[in-house]
Amino acid sequence: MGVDEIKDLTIRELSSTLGSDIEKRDMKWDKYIGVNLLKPKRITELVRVLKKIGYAQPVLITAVDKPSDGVIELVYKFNRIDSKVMTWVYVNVDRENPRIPSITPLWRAAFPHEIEAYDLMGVVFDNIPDLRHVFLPWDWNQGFPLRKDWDPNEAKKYPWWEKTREFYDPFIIPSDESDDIYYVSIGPQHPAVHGSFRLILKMKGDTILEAWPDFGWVHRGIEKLAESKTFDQIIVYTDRLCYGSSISWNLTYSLAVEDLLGIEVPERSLWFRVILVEMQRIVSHLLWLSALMADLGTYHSMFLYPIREREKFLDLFEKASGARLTYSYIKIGGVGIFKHAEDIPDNWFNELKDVLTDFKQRVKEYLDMTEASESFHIRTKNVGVIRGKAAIEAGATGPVLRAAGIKYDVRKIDPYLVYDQLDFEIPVGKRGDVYDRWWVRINEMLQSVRIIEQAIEEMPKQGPLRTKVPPIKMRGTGEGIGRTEDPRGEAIIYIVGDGKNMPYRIHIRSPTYINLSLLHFLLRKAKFADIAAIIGSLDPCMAEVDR
Amino acid sequence: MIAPISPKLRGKILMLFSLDYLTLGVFASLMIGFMIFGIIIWKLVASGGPLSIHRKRTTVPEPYKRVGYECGEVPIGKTRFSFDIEYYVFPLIFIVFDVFTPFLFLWTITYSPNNWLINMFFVLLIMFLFLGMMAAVLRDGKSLVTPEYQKDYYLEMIEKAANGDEEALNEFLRIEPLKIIKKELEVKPMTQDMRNKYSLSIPDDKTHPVLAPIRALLRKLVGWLFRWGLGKSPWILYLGIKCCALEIPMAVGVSRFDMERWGIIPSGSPRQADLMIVNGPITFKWAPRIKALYDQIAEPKFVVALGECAILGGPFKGSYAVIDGANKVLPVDFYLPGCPPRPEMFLDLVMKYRSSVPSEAERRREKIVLARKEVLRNLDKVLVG
Repeated sequence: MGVDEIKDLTIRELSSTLGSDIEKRDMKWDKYIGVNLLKPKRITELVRVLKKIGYAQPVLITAVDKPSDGVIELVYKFNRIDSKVMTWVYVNVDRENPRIPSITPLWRAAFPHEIEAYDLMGVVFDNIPDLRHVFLPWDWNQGFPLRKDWDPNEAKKYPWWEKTREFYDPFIIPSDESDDIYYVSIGPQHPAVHGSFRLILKMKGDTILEAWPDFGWVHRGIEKLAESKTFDQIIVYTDRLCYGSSISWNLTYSLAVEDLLGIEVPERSLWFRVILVEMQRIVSHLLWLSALMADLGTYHSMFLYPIREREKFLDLFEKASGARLTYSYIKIGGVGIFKHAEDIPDNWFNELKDVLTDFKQRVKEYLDMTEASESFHIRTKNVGVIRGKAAIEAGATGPVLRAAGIKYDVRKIDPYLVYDQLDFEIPVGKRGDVYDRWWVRINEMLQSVRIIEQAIEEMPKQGPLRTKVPPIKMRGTGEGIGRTEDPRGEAIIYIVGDGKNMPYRIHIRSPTYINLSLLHFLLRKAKFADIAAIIGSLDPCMAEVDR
Repeated sequence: MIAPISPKLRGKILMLFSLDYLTLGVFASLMIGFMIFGIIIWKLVASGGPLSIHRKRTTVPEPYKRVGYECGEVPIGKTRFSFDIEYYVFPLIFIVFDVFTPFLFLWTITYSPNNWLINMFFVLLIMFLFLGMMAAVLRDGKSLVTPEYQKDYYLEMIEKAANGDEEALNEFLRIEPLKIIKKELEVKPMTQDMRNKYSLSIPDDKTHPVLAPIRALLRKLVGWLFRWGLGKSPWILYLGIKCCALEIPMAVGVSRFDMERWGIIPSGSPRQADLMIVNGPITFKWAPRIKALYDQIAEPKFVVALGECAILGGPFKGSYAVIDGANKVLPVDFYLPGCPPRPEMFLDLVMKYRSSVPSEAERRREKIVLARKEVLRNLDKVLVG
């Protein structure tokens, strides 16, 4: 179906079901449909309609606090697998008593978004299965930080110091559970959890009955901090969102701000951005590969080899941007460190070509050490299975969704930069297990090499890399969205501006946060020994999850 | 009455046990002598002995030291519970038959079909072992397969869910609420017994004309060895909190920088670590856990605040969930700036550690003893978790 057909269908179906309770909203973008829902109670009906006409996931649920109107505005964004059309539903709930029916019972993918909105904004979702603080401590009673009138001094009252002096959070199992059921918590400090998060497992024998991921260990409140920083300053935070894919987040943020402020980017920098982002994808996947192999055990060589190649890419990044990990290289209006006239270092592309040629050989070496090993197949096949419709329903994106057999990639569906002029394929898995996720990522690296080689050839050789945006023009009203395919999944940054040089609200869709929420389903009935493989295959990046 | 044994059979039994008694005797006495020697040395040197250089390993009443987990978390529910039989049936079989195998060996080398007494003995032994095993299994009345794990059924359900079957989807994508509940802390006042238990027992007999100098010498020697090892091979406990974890220990741990050249080994557990690396912004949620991990490290311990976030809060200073700096929670010894610091900077820090830590550990020992006494004096209650 074309864009217009889907838009007509959506509007027709919605108005026939909800009648006068919805009204169409004028959107800045042609490809997105905006709808105001006047009665919050009818959100479940609306969701049923959208689900029926083929919408895939509630890809982002943002709560925007508007004290002047006395409401909290919830923006539901629903995406599609087959088209770039998204439907945005705006619902206002009362600020004093923000209650709205939860759509989690209908659409499981909404669960992480809804508990996040409860955690930071205090919107209560009725009928949600497990409502508790996600990012803030479980016993947090100091208000909801993202609200505009929240007093930061409240946070200082949280008794963290007392907690360091005594046993904290001593929990017991409810007495109605049988004797041979026990609970194990893995993390927050554990080599298998890649960073810091905690996994609470309900076990019987060595079979997992239920699993609950517990996030928030690195929650720094980036979204709140960004509200008091100028658009330029926030770039630094986007680096630190995910240390494995800094450039990707630089790009997502820059796209969102450029969308909000209406900044045109020079042609040459578009191509250069593609090269950088695809390099970052390779670097991120290499890091993932080495970590997964370390998790699977006795693969010490395979822990070392991908990092060896990664260092070569890091050297190139360092040569161009001056940093090994946190680049801040993609800026609003283009690419550059701090000057507007600077260019890519001499001979950089030749070195990149050499590294790529070498890398293609190395991938064969990886295959020899993983795929050729029988134990690798035993540890990964039919482990952590989720596929087909279930993966879409659960909210997976990125390599996890593609391994589940769904051909969904933002680079193809909603091309940004110059991806529509490039020739590449999307690797898709079949079984949706750990092995397929490995296979998809290995192939994505090869596709990235292909993209970089094309982009080097077709990139304009001369021209500016960055549009000069004077600080006075760094003010915007309305909305801006950056939607990219991060190495870990679909990344969205949604910005609301109010005419100042700072964002009014910035919401970051972390693909890993949603993918890790799948642990509820992936770990159920799995064996204890498979935990490391399953978590590793999701490529967690906790700094991005917790924000 | 035992029936008289025929001379033929008697000869065979004797043959079975006719070993070289001299060799056996020498080895047995060596074995026993070695044990007695060990016990004597232990009695001399160990705490309370005349040559004791060992200060009683004190249980410092830092609350987290007694926490069982080494991941910074306290266990949920009781930690001791009865396991399903399936978990010890295999070790049981292994241990019993492992002990049994040497006898089987003896049996095979002297096997003869006429040896009915010995044959019968072994056959009955095997039978009884199996019967005992069966009885153990039957007594617990549990099957050897956990009933919840029905792999084929589950894979079938996943297949159905993948094809969009409504019922299977609901079953597969079920989110259960977390039902563990919070317990009230049970606070017990500290009794004199506990105080004695936690207190230090330092031998104060420094006046003995013969033993005191020997003790001093031994102590000096052991101390020197210990500090030499401490400087040469710091085991690091790294918290993979944030970005810095990718550089240290990941990038420095592999080929290009290879920190193992300097004897640095990443230790997964705090109990074996010497150097704790705090890398990243410390959130309210992390702070008690970091303290717990720090408490679990044995003295002497050193802390590195790695990166701007751990030093002062870095770019996240002023956030509602972040504590500005690791030194608000822990005593920090080394600060390594950078966002993140380069791997070379960490290697430089290691050089400094090697040169400064041995003397620092010596200097700090007395301070630690004093500090522990101070802690004991001020501690008026023990929390029982």
